[in-house]
Amino acid sequence: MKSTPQDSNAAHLSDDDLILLYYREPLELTGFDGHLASCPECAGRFERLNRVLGTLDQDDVPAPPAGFEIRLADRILAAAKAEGPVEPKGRLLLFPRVARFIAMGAALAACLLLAFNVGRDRGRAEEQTLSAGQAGERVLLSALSEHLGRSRVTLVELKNREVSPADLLALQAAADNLINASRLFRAAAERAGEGQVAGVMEETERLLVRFAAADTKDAKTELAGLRKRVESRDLLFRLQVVEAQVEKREKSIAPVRRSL
Amino acid sequence: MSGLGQTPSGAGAADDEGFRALVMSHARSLHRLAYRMTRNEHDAEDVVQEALLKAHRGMDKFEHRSEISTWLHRITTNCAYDLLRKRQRRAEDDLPERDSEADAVTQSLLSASPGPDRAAYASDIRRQVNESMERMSATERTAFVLRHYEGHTLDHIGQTLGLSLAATKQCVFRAVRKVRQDLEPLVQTS
Repeated sequence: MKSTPQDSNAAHLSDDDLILLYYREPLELTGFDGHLASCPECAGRFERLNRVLGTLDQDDVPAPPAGFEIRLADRILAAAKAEGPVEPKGRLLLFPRVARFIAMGAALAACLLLAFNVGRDRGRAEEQTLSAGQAGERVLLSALSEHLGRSRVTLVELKNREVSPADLLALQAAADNLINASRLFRAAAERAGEGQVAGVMEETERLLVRFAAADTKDAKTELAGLRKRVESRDLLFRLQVVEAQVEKREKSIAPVRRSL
Repeated sequence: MSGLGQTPSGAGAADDEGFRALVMSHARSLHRLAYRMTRNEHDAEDVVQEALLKAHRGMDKFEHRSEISTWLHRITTNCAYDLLRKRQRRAEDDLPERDSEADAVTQSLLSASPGPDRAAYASDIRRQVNESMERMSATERTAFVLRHYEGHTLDHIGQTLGLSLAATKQCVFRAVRKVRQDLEPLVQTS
């Protein structure tokens, strides 16, 4: 007769089985728990394993020294800068104005239109230059990259700035401007298939909307909430990441030789 | 009063700000992982620094399918694993360094814990765990730390180490056997 795990005399659990049980890994065989309940020998061995592996929880890790993170960030950023010159990105230090966004939006729309249309007219001339489609895509990516950089600068301001009531109003206005621009860029990013970029932008927008829409008495509380969420969601870094990805895409667009 | 955007945190500072925030959020948990794997504070700090530098260089490679913390932990695991393999190849004996480190920890435990018995027990555990880890191969140690301390599934560990599920299981089994050999006598006498 074939033995089963429930038959406590015939099939004891191996040490390896007990390890898998301890770590709650899926087991190939069923009935292990049942066997454990009915077999004092295996239950005793499992208890001993529990005690041994449980003692590892008392093996504390020494905490790194105070200021560890600050020194670490300083060293890494210094090393990163030493590796090569940082290309000036020419970002605006002032928060964008609505007119600039409208102009950018129009440029973006034109680029998208261009990108959609030029595909049909490929192969008209032999030239070693960017095709119109490539040029359109590059402008789109450049505009996106610039917007992402601006969003990041805005979030840094919102996160770090000591605010007076007057500053709060100005920050809310700046957040509102950014939201309007972001919607336009996000829609363009979605249409261009930049889903990840659009996702990060949407998350940024959601944070900004609550703060921008808060009335005077709630604005400070909303700003505090925004700061927490920016930190807990790694939003500044994620904006930096998508910005780097967009810039990489932009730089990867190389001139091609085209012919009739 | 400075206008918006004209504070010291301009565009240049903003370039670094996100990364600084990332380091502040994750450095300690990465350090814990790196220490578990290397069993050496100095090495752990080096590993975290290397991992974060790689993250900084490769941020355009981050895939949004996973959380940033998962991505950083994977890079840190790989850096620590590389260090362990180098260490294994060179067969360096770090025992004196670890002993002095264990003494320092014992001192801190003595000052923080209710009595010397508990501190001595913690110190014994630490020493035995160090010895067990030293007897593990780089792959066994990595698999064990990821399974026991980080709670990763065997499947996930296999993917990280480039091993089949069966090979990953064997790594964890061997590691646990070594831990049992070193710790069981201590647990029985406690």
